[in-house]
Amino acid sequence: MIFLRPYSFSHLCQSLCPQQLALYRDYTFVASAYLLEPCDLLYRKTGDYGLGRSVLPKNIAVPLVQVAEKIGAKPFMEYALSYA
Amino acid sequence: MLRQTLHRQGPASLKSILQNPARASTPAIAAISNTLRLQALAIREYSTPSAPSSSPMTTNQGQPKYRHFHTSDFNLQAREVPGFPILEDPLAHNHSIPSFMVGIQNGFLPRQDPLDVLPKEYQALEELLQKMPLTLKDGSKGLLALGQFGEACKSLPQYDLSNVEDSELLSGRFAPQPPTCCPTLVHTT
Repeated sequence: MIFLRPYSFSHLCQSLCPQQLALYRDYTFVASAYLLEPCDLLYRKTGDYGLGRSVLPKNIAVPLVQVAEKIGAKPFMEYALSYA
Repeated sequence: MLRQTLHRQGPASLKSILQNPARASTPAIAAISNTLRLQALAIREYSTPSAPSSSPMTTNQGQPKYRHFHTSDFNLQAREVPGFPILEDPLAHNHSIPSFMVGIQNGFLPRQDPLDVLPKEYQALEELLQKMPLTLKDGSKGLLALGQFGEACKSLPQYDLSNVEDSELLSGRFAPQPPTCCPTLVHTT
């Protein structure tokens, strides 16, 4: 018989609140839109995606990391917390 | 065991008899007879409505007895798990319990509805998001459609979110916002 190791969800229990979730959701959308905007533009013009931007400016990156750490998420768009 | 018997004896004996009907030996006919008997037994077992207990169950001879799964089994097997309450009230203003709990009203979704609009403290971010979609609510083109989003991000201030808590919301500092369409949803649809 296999026993699964219990996962700790204490970080989720304590800190998931609407304002943090909304900020995380919105910053992940800003980050993805910023990084992938060149791909969208090129795709509409030539049908090829090309490359996205390689650097995320700190006015987006720093708040995104801060709020992601608070809610125990990764600082990039997630299914459950961004677009689900 | 029943299945093994059916697979081993039945097809082989039947094949040899069909190929050489005149040479059908007594043991071969006996094997087919036995096979048919076991098959009938198996059909009877499968079609008999069995007791509403665990499945598969065991007969007196120690052989496993399988039966078809039925949706009524949920009622018999489902039981409340201790320490896993089903919320009748989502308790939206209670921030001491987890956001993701199973409830009658919210299902598996978070107990609280998400914020449609960010607080005024983050007005610049909110305005950027409102202008971001390919098509704005008034039908005009947004920043992403015009290819101006990257440039517009340069004017976004760097907010300090290291101390973001919901204390403001709890104290009612931010009045409930009028229902507006979420900018992220506009973008995705």
